[in-house]
Amino acid sequence: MSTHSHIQQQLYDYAKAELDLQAMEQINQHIASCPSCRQELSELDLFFERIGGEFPKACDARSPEFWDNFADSTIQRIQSSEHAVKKSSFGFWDSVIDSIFPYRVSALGLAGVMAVAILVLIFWPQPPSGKPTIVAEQSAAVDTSVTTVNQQFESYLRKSKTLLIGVTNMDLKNDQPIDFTAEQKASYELVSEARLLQNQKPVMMHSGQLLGDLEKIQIELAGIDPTNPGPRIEMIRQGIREDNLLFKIRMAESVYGHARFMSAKGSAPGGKK
Amino acid sequence: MAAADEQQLVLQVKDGNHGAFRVLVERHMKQAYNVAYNFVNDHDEAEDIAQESFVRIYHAIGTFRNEAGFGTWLYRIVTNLSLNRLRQRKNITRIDGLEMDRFISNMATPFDEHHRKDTHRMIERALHELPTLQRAVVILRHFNGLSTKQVSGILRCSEGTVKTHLHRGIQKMKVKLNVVKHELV
Repeated sequence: MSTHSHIQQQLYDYAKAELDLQAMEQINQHIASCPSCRQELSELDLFFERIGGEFPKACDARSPEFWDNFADSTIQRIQSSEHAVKKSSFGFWDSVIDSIFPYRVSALGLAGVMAVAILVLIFWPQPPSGKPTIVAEQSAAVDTSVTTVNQQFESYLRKSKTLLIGVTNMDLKNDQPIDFTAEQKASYELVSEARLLQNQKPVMMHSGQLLGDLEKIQIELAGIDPTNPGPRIEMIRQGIREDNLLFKIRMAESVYGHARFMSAKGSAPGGKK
Repeated sequence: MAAADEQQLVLQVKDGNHGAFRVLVERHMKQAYNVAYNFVNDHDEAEDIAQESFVRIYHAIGTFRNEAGFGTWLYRIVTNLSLNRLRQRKNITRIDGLEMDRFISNMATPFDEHHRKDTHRMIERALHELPTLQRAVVILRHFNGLSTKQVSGILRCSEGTVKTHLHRGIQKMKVKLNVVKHELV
């Protein structure tokens, strides 16, 4: 960028006196010998005069009572959203129970009795058979659960990497319209996967931060205007680079790949448990 | 204060302290409202966007790393929600007469009402005819007084990019507001 262009882009901050002394001095010297920048500066002053004192803040149009109640309204909204999430998670089963058992309390009581009965059956002492099958099966069940979560997260990382590489390599410079449909659909699906994985302790312990970063990017990608995706894509690409997300994904993949290898080695015949 | 005190409040919110969250809301609610309003030009929608932003922050507070500051995070959400709302409206570059009348009726103009209405109309029209990024930068940097650094954090772009978009956006607005006489390329 030429000095002249650079100076012009600093003129706003200069006019607002928001530059350091050295930069101010540099611009003073340039303006002294550049009629074009002097003209631009006077137009900027006129612009400020034109709109600076005339634009009231939108918040001033609201009454003090509105602002006194804003925080309460927001907290009520949060409580409503939490209630709605809990309700929708079990919505289908709620409707099944409502249709079979009109009285919810009775249904819950019955479910409690059944749960107790199942637990009794599971933990009822068995006659010794010489084979430590229950403990081994429980241990295997836990291992399988962790392995399943790891596999799910590994799959999520792989798909996220593919999406981010695709976004990073997109050609935004030509005049052809950009079809962002597939990427947007993938982003929606990945956001859903991310939210499921956030409830999995093995993932959150080691990769919670990465998962959160990826979810944020995927939410932004899902929210892009499909008719004009270019500007937002560029902003998001900048974010991917600055957060070094592709590198972090590769690091996480190597960790989970190693864990899967060790798990497979341990469960192979002759392997240690 | 602000940064260390706000970090402390965020940590308290992460620990489930609702009082700390209320303090954060009360500190930032007006600015969030102003930013949203500058995009959507409607008080009810600005209120909805501002509240929704705080709701999203509450639910996502566990993932907040405080690298760029709470305010930057909040205004990023406000900006994204506002842009989404505009996209849903499908009239990003035009303001119809009904919306402008509603905007004008919301303004308190005790002095020279006719002149003010005209000027506000022109300013709003000039602003809403800018490309998305330029409009976002002008709204955040000029109309809401956020620093270049904050705006770059909100929009996830470099400070140089913010200055470029600000420069171009203001150039275009100057033409539309008859501050300059020549058209921009």
